[in-house]
Amino acid sequence: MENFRKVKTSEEESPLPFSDLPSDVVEMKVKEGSKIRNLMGFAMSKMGLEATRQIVFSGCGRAVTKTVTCVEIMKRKLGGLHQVTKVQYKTLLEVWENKDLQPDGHREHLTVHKNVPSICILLSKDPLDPNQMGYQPPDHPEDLWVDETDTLEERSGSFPKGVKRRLASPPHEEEEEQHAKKPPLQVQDHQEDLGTMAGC
Amino acid sequence: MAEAGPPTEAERALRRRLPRRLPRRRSDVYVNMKTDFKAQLSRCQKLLAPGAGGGGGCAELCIHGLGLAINRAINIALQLEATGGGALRLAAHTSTVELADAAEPEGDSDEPQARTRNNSAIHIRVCRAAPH
Amino acid sequence: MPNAKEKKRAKKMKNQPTSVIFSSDGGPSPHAMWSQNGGEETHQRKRQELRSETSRGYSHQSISHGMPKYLTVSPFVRARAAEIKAMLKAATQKSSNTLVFQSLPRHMRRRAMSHNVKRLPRRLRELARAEAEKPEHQKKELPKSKCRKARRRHINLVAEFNRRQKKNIWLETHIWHAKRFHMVKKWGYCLGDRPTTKCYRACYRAMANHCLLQDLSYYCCLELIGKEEELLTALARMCNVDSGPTFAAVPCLAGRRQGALTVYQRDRYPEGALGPVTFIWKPRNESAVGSASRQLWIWTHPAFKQDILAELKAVCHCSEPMDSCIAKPVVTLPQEESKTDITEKVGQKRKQKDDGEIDVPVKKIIGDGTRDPHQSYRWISQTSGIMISDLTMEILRYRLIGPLSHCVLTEALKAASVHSNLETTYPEMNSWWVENCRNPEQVSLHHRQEAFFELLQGLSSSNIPSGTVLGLTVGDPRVNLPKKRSKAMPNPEKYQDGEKVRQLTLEGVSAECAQSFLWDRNICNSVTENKMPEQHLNSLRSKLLIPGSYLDLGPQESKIPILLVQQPGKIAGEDRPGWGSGWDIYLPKGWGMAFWLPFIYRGARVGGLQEGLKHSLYKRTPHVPSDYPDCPAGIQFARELERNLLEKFKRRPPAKRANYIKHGTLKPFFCPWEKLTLDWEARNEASHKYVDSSVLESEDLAAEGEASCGPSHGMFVPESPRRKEMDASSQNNVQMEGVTDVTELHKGDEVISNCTFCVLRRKKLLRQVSAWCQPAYVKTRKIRHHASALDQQEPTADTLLPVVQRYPRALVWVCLTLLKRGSPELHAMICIPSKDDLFQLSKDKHFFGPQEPKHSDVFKNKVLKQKAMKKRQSIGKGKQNSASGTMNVIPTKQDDLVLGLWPDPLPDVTSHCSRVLLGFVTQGDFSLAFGCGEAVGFVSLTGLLHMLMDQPKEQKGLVLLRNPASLQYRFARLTVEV
Repeated sequence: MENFRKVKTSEEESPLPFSDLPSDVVEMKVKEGSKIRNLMGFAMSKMGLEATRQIVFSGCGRAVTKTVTCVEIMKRKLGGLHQVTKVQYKTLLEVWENKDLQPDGHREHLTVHKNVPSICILLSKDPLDPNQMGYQPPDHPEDLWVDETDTLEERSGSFPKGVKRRLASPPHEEEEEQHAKKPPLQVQDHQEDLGTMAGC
Repeated sequence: MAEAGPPTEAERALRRRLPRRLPRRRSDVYVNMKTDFKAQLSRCQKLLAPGAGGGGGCAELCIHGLGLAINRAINIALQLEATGGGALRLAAHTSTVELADAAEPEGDSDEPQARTRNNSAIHIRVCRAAPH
Repeated sequence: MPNAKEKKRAKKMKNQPTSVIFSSDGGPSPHAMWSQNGGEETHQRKRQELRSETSRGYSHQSISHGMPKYLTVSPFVRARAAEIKAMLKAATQKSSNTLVFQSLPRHMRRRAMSHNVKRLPRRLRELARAEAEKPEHQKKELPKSKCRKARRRHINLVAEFNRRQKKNIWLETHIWHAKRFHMVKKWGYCLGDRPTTKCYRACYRAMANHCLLQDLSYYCCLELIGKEEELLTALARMCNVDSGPTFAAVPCLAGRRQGALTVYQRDRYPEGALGPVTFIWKPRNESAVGSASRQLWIWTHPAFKQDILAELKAVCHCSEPMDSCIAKPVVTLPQEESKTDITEKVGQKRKQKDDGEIDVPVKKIIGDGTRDPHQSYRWISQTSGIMISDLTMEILRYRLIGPLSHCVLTEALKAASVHSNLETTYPEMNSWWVENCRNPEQVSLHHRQEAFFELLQGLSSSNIPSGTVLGLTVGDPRVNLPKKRSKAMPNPEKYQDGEKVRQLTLEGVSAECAQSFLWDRNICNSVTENKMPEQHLNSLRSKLLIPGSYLDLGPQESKIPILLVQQPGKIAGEDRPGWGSGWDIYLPKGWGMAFWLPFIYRGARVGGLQEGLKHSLYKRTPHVPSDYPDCPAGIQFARELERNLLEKFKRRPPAKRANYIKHGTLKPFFCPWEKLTLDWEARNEASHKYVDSSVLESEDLAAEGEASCGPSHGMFVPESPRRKEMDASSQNNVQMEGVTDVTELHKGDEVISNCTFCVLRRKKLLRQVSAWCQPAYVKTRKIRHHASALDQQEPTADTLLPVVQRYPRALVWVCLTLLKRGSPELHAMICIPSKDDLFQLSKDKHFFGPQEPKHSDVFKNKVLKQKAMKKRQSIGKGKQNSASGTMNVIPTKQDDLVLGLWPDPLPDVTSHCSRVLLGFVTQGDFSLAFGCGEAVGFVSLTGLLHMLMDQPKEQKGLVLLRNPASLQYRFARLTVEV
C-alpha cells in the first residue's frame, strides 16, 4: 500500500435521516480537519437569528467526535434546544492511484468502499416529536439513574439525559470479557436499592 | 478504568484522572479503545440475545462511549443493528463529561492544581422491538 | 496355703454352722437313729449327712460303727431343729457382698438388667428390686469438680494474652486475624500474613473492583510538636525538594493533604536514605497567629522506626527524655469482655486514672516491639522547644483499598449527632462532645464535614485529589451492624453533580474541615476509656422491642473522632492511573474491633502482608521495607531474606536443588547492589575518559530543561555541595562513622551508614530517564504533550556524561513488562540484549529470547573434596579419641561452600553471564491486571544509560529477563515511571 496515494475521496450522498425538515435548514458538515472555532462561529451566528429554528450537524468517520463536541458546545451556549440524534453508516468512496507508473504507462487505480459510522444531530428551538428514536429534551434533569431505572418500562421513547461518565474497560480487560455474561453483583443489590427507594 | 483520550499539555506534568465511576447495570456496556472490537461486539450480542441475555425486562442495551470511543460505540451499535435482523432500534443521546486533570506540585511552593476539561460522550440505546 | 477358691468358699460359708451334728452324748448317733426313722429316706439322709460330714469344714466323725439300733426322739428332734434353724438362718442371711446379678452364671447375665428388673429371671427379681433400692446403688452425685479441660484453662484470659504479647505485640484485631490468617512474627508484631483460604484472585478482584481492608496499626506514629519555623528548619535537613515536595509543601503544611517522602540522614542527600514516611500536619487554627505551635504526625514502617526516630531526635536536639513509662501490669475488672476488647499500651496519663475507677479497661504491659519498655517515649528539646512523642499503637490505622471503599465507609459510618439539649445524665462520657456542641462554630464545622462525607458517596476514591484529609466525628458504628454480610454497592441515587462535587474533586477538602479531635490526646483517651463494653451494648440490643431494629442510644452513644485520608493509588506512569486508591481511617485506640466488624459486614475483604505486597507491585511502587536497598532497615531485611532462602535451599535434598553455578546465577538469594554499582562504575571508567570539568556540568545543567517552571533554584543551590559531596565521597563525610573508599571492595554490610550506592530519587532526572526509555512510536504521540525541552534530547554520550558523573553509583527504580511469555521471580536478572537479539526480535515476532549457555561448576570438585575431608575427619575423630591437630587445617573459606552457590568473593557481576547485567528484580509475578508477567526492581543508572545510548529508536527500552534457576532469557519492556 505504500506505493499508492489517495487521489480522490468522495462521499456517497444520502439524505438527512430527519423527517419534516424545511429545505433551507442550516446544515453543518463537519469534516475531520474542520476547526471548531470556525464551525461554532458560523453556527452561532446563524442560530442567533430568530428566524432560524433548526440546525443540523453531520459528520462521519473521524469527525464524529468533533460533531458531538460542536453540538454540546452549542447546547451549552444556547439553552433550551431540543435534540434528535441519528447514527447510520455512510459509504466513502476512495480512489487510490499508484505512484509508480506501470510499464505500459497507465496508472493503477484502486477504488475502496468504506463503511464508516456517521452521525446526524438536529438541534431545534421548537419542540420536536418526543417519540422519535434519539430524542433528547433540553436541559436534562440531573438524576439520570433514578429516572432510568424507574421508568425503563414506561418511557421507551424519551431518554433522560445521559449518563455522565463513560468508563472505559480497565486494562484488566480479559476479566471483563470473561464476566460479560456474569452480571456484576450490583445488579441484585441494585434491585434491592430500588425497593428501598422512596418515591418509586 | 482508563479513558482513551490523550492527556493534556501543561507545563507541569498533568495527570489525568479517571472519570467518575458509574454504577453499572447489567444492561450498560462501556466501550473503550483498548479492548478488541470483536470482543466488545460479541459481548453486546450476547447480552441482546433472547434468553439469558437481554439486559433486563425491556431487552434494552445501553452503549456508552467517551471521546475517541464514540466512533467505536457507533460502530458497535450499527453492527448490532445490521446483524440483528431488523428487530433492533437505536436511539442515540449525547452529553458532555467533565474530566479532571491533576497537577501534582513539583516543589514546596506549588499548590496542586486541577483543571477540568470537557469531553463528549455518546449513549446509544439499543432496543429490541418489533420492526416498523 | 489355702488358694483363692478355698478362700472364696470359706467366705461364702462363713455364716454357715461348722457342725450340724448334735453329738452331745456319745449315745445315739445319727447312725443309730437311722433305722428308727425308717427306711430309705433316713438312710439317704444319713448318707447325705455322712457325705456332709466328710466334707472339710465339718468335724469328721468316724463312721466305723454301724447303724444305731434305736433313736431317742427328743435329742434327735432337738438336733434336727437346731439344724433347721441354722439352715434357715443361713438362708436368710446374705452371705456374700456380691450382687444378685452375679449369682447368675455369666452367660445369662444381661446388660439391661442393671436398670430393668424384668430382664432377670423371675426368681431373682424381688431380690434385685430390693437391692436396687439400696442407697449404695442409687445414682451417686459426683463432686462438683470441673473437667480436666476446664481446670487447665486460664482463669484470667486477659492476663494470659498479655503474657503472650511480651515478645510480639498483638494488634487489636489479632484474635480475629488469628482465626482466619496465617500469622507471622515480624518487627516485633504478630501480623497476619495471608488468609487461610485460597483467595489470591479474590483479593485481587477486591482490590481492583470492590474493597480490600487491611489493618495497618503496626505502623508507627511519631508526633512532633513545636513552632512551625523550628520544625521546618529542623526537618528540612532530612529531606530534599528534588525528590518531591518536602515537609514544607504548601497544601501539606495547611493540613489539607497528606505528604509522602523519603527521609535521609541530615544533610546527606542523596545518600544515607533512612526510609519512606508519610506525614500529616494538623490544620492551623484560624484564630491562632502565624508562629503558633503546630503538630506534625510522621508515620513510618516499624522497620525504619528506630533509625528515623534517632535521626529526628538528633536533628531537633531532643535528647532529654520527658517521661518514661514503667511497665505496670494492672489488675482489672472481670466484667470487661476482653476477647474483642484488648486495649493497647498504657500511657502516662492512664496511670493516674488507674487507682479509683472500676471501669478502666484492661491495660497491658507496655511494650512495643521496637522499643525497650523502660525507655522513655517522649523527648523534649531545650533549645528549640520541640517535643517528640512516640505514639506507636496509640492510634489505629485501617486501610481500605479499592474503588468502592468509599461505599463501605459511608455505609458503615454515620456522622455523630449533635446534642441539642444539654444532657447531664452522663457527665463523663462525651463531655468533650457536649462542650463542642455548645460552640456554634464548631457545630457548623461539624455539619460541613458531614456534608463532605455525604458527597463522598457519589464519588470514587480516585476522583479526589490525592492525599486529601477529612476529619470527622462519628457515632458508634456498632449500633447499626447489619444482621448479615452484604456487599456495599454504590447507590445511584447519590450520584450528584454540582458545584460542590466539582469543588471536591478539584480542590479537595478545605483546610478547616480537615480538623479532627483525634489530634487531641485527652479527647482520645477519654473516648477510649468511655467505650461502651460489648456486653452492655448487646444487652441493650436484646432489650429492644423489635429485634433487629436500629438501636438508638441517644446521647449515650459514644462519639469517636476519626481522620480519613485518601490514598492515591497509582500516580506514576501512564496506564491505570488511580489503581489501588483507597482510604485510610485513623481511630483512637480501643475502638479497633468496633470499627473492624462493621467494615467486614459491609463486604470488605481482608488482606494480610502478602496482599499488601501485591498492592505495591500493581501500583509499581517500592514495597516497604523490601524495596529500599539503600536504607539500613532495607539492607537488614535483605539479609534476613537471604538467610531464610538459604535455609530453605539447604533443606532440600541435594539432588533436588538447583545448581546456581551452572545457571550462571551469582547470587540467587540476595541482590548485590554494591558490587553491581561498583562494577558498572569501573566499566564506565574503563570505556570513557573521566572528564572532571565543572564547566561542562553546569552547562549541561542549564540545558537540561529549565522550561518547566519548577523551582529552578532548587537545582542550582545544592549543586555545589552535591559536587563537593561527590568528590568527597571517596573520602569520609564528617558524620559518617566508618571509612569508605570507593575503589575498595565493600567489606560487609553491617556498617549501616556506609552504603556506597544510592537510589536515584530526583524527580527531574527520573523524568528525563523515563523519556529516554520510551521507544519512538510512543514518543511521537506524546511529544506535543511534554513540551519541555528536556525530553527532546536524545541520549548521547555528551548528555549522559554529566549525569553519570554526578551519580556514579546510583540505582533507578524500574518497572518491567514482559512482552510475551514468562513470569519473573524474585531476584531475576535484568540484562542488556545484544544487537543480535534485537535483530532477531525484529525479524521474528515470536522469538522468545536467547538462551544462556550452561556454565561449568568450578567449585564442584572443591565441594566434594571438602565433604570427603570432613567425612574422613569425623571418622578419624571417632577412631581416636584425641583430635589430631593436622586434621583441623581445613581453610575456613571452604567451610561455607554449598554445592550450587557461589562462595563469597564474587567475580565481576556484570560480565559473568553472556549478557551484560543491568540490575535485579525485587518483586515479580504474573500480573492479573495486564495478562502478562510484570516485575519491578532496580537497575544501575550507569548501565541503563549505557544501554539506551546504543539501542535503536524503535526498540528502546527492551531488556532481557532471566530467572535465577533458568537459562532462558525473555524480552521485557523497561519503563521508569514518574
